[in-house]
Amino acid sequence: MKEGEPLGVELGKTPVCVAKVGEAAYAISDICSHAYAKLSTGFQEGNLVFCPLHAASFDVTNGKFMDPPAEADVPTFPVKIENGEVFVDVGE
Amino acid sequence: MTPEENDLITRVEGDAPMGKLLQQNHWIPAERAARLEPGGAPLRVRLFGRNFVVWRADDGRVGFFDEACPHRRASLALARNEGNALTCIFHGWRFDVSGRVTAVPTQATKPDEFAARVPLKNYPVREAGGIVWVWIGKGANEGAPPPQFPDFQFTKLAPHQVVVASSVIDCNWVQGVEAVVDAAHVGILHANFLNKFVGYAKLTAVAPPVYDIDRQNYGFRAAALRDLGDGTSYVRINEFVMPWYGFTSPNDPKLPHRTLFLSVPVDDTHARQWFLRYNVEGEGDKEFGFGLKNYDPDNFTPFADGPDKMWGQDRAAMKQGSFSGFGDNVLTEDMVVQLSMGPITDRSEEFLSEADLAIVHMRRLLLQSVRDWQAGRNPVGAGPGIDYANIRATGGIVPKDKVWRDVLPKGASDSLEAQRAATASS
Repeated sequence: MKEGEPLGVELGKTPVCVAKVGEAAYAISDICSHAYAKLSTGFQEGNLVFCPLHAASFDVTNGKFMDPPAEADVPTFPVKIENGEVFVDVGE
Repeated sequence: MTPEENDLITRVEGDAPMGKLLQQNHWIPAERAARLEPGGAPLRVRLFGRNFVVWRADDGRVGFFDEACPHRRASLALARNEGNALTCIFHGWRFDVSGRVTAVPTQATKPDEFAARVPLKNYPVREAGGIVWVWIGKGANEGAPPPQFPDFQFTKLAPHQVVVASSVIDCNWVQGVEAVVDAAHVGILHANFLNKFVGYAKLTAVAPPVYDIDRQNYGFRAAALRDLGDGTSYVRINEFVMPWYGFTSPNDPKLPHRTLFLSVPVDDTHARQWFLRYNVEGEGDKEFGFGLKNYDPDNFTPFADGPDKMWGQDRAAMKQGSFSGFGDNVLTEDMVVQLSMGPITDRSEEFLSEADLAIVHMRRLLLQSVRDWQAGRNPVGAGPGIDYANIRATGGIVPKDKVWRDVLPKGASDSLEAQRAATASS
């Protein structure tokens, strides 16, 4: 994975956006809390991911919304990295 | 997008940063080469809110000057064109096609010394691919080195291979560029045309596409993927090349016909849209792939009526099978929806959806280029070092277990050339 290129995956029934920040990886819901859009098709700057459609942004480290028009946080998922592989627990 | 960002990408007149960066870093398509006759009338050209004349000398060379005579600013569109020079009809000042001032009849004392000081503004031109291109950046009229020329495949074809047409449209240039980058509208706005067409393009009406954008140093490749339900996807890849070029995925990549659209600023509220149809192997298709006949190549998309009559939209036809009410001319359909947004649309009031992703990327690139320019960096999408010559819009069927970027890589991966190569080696 590369920092600046978020990855969108469907884990079970859950769309997840995985983003690398430095050597760490974080996972949040892939669906913007503002309108139905995949955050993984947007843009990453540092630990913020920007929704491509209306420029809402979220901190991948804690799911908190930053830029409007977002008004709500997004769920986060625990991540562990083992032997260079990223595992995400979506609780299903 | 904020209102400030909207202004930054759209405004091009005077000191507007986008106008400055475009003029400085890019060659501008200015006129249709075949329209210029040796010894013919100088034609007015308006670019970025500035007025020029373009003309062809008796010996075939093309001249490009500020429209206003440097003496008392009469229009050089009135000038006599003879002897490889323009002679202003007002006081007879004469301007050679190379930019030298060769006669100043109103200056009796030391006319040669005086003539050498006259600030005629002439600009470097290049003729290629049926178009006269000009560079009007800072220092252009003083011999400064021009930017990298976009030597696309079509610029190297013979004149009979490239069909060139254009129209001035009464809205901002960015709306024109978006018309081509936006693939989402094809199956809907152009439904009339698709119903008649047998080929890959018909598949655009089959399923809504998923978009994937692959950034390049010249812009991006925008892939629209449509699941055909049989383990494969139909992929159409449009190439967006900064600042205003859109190569559309050929309807049948095995045929040698290609299409290019571009939209060049005339001023803040007008643009010149160019439509190129070229045949990489033979005679250019004058019907543009959809049966267009009897058109004026310099006023390519006339409307049946004015804006107050919705540009001639036919409501009766809409009740009888026409989806858009504009016949099956896809270009008229594109122009009308753009114009209807107003002279400069307010993007800060939009509400985009998933299929608008290509437009999002295009605007980001334009905004990035302005920010680069304002920070003194080489703007994204400007040369040197861009491989224009190998850009190809392509498309095809991709098995769902493969990645489209691998199956249809960038570069000269034309199905035509690839098929040639494949047959040659077998």
